[in-house]
Amino acid sequence: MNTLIPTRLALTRVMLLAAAFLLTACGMPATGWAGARVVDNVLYTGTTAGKVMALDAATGALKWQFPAQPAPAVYATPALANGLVYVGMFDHKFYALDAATGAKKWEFDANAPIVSSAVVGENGLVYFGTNGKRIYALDALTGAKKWEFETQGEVWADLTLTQGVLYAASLDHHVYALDAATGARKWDFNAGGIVVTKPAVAEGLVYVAGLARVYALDATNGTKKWEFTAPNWVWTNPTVVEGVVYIGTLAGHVYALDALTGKEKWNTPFKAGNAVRSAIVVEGDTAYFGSDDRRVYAIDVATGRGKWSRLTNGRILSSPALARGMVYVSSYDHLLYALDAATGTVRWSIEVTSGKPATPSVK
Amino acid sequence: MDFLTPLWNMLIVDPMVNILLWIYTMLNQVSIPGAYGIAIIIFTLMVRAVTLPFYSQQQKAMKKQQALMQSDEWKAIQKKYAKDRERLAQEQMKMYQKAGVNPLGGCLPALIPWPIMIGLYQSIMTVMGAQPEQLMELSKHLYAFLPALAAAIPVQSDFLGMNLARTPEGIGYIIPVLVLVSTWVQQKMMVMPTTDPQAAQMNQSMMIMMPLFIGYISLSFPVGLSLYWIVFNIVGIVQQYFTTGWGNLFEGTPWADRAKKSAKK
Repeated sequence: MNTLIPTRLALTRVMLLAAAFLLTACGMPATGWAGARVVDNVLYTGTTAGKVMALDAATGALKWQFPAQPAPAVYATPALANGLVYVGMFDHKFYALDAATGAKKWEFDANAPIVSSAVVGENGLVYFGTNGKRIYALDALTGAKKWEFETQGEVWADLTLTQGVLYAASLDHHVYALDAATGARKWDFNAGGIVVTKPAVAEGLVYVAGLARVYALDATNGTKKWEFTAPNWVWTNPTVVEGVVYIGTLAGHVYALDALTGKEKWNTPFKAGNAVRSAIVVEGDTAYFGSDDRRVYAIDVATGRGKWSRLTNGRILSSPALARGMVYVSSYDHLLYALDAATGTVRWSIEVTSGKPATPSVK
Repeated sequence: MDFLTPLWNMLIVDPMVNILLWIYTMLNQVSIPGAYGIAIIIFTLMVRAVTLPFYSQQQKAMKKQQALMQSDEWKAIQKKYAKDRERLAQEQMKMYQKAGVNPLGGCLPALIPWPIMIGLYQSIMTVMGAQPEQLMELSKHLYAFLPALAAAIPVQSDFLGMNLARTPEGIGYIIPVLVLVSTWVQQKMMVMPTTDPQAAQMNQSMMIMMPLFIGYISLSFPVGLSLYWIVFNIVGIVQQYFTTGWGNLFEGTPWADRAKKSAKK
């Protein structure tokens, strides 16, 4: 026997194994981090299985899911108006679905993946951004395009609409204020780095994060009022409640900042075990959020100290939703959890791949 | 095993990500079009240069082995012990020892650069940050003392009319073809002639299957990654040429004799 054969076989196997490694490690798959929205006791959410689901918020019973063939990923939190659910997906399509049945009313081909969550105006327009470096305004009932605004980078951030002004942010480092009726630019602000967070507007100020900096801008002209520098990138949508801005960092810190000055409110920031990308959702005296360390946290908003945490079996990058004393959150373990907001106890959970109830082994 | 990922990142991926992004930032500052594509090429060349000694060792070992297998003595014992495979193996081992050839000598040096190449691959994908999760991960790899790198994100992935972050489309379909051809050429130059029908058959099937496999999967890879494969292969071809000449590349073609003569020189 030629002694080279075993050698070559071994080498070939190693090469194939390496190729297999390359294949499996081909970046991480787009999984999505859609948050949930609860309206009239129905929970609407995008799932890690690439679908939009409507569930009974009290029991987790599946009402409908869309589409039949899953999209590559859903990052956008569904928006509701006019009896329709509006959501963009990574398959380049923006959909309007019947909120009661999930039937598709219309779709718009954005020619690029959609990450940004939509916002619906009282003027009958629905707005969203795309990876195609554009912000679109469509007729909310028909899907007809009204205007589009071009940026120099992908628009991943969720949009904010208030008092006829649409606030958007782009990977081109800029925050934009646009006339919601026409798409005309009112002002823009260079944040010095990518902006992936939804601009939050309160008391005449716009709060937004670019890389590790959090900015408060004058809503009328984009002038910087203050900035706060965190130790790592900020990917959470800033939450503003009663004069306090809550943000999390990819190093796992959670900060409470004075909305007028940007000064820290807590003695020390709360520290999760890993990155916090999920928005900090505040109700009463408690703030809720998920972390890359697979936990859902509840902390005291006055002190920043932990109240409870619930371990799941996957990363939690999506923002929780609060309703009727429950915290709804999706995990990368492909389960959607409904937790008791007071204790963190699992009330129910479902497998998003099947829509069936699950019995998670969480601690 | 949880400590392995941070260790791998600290030693391999983090330095590579920062160097790659630094090269991109430098090129971008002087407004060179297609800066990320050029950064990938430069960085692949740099990494190839670092791993050059391992490849040279491998290629020298292969050349020695090739010469031994083409000797009359080798052919004679193959003929003599054609029906006694165990004895044949013993005799071949004696010949290896006599000629100072380690039949496994080419394997170890070939394996050492793989972790580096896998790290390079991961770095290219991470820096590209085509998906939100990837870009989010990138923050974990950047050195805090180089803030200019974070400010350069996202990298502009346009290169020669192609988008390096996307799978091939339009003119980009030339990329999988180049991957296939460059893989085939390199493999054809490296393959050693053998009189063993089993080994010859295996060589033949590998010669077809491997380039096809790599070319096919490159259809579903971002163009930037395939660009790295092409540069990786081309450097390998050049290295191989200077070590063993054209090898068997022109076997069965009118240029075969000429290629052999140039190799002997």
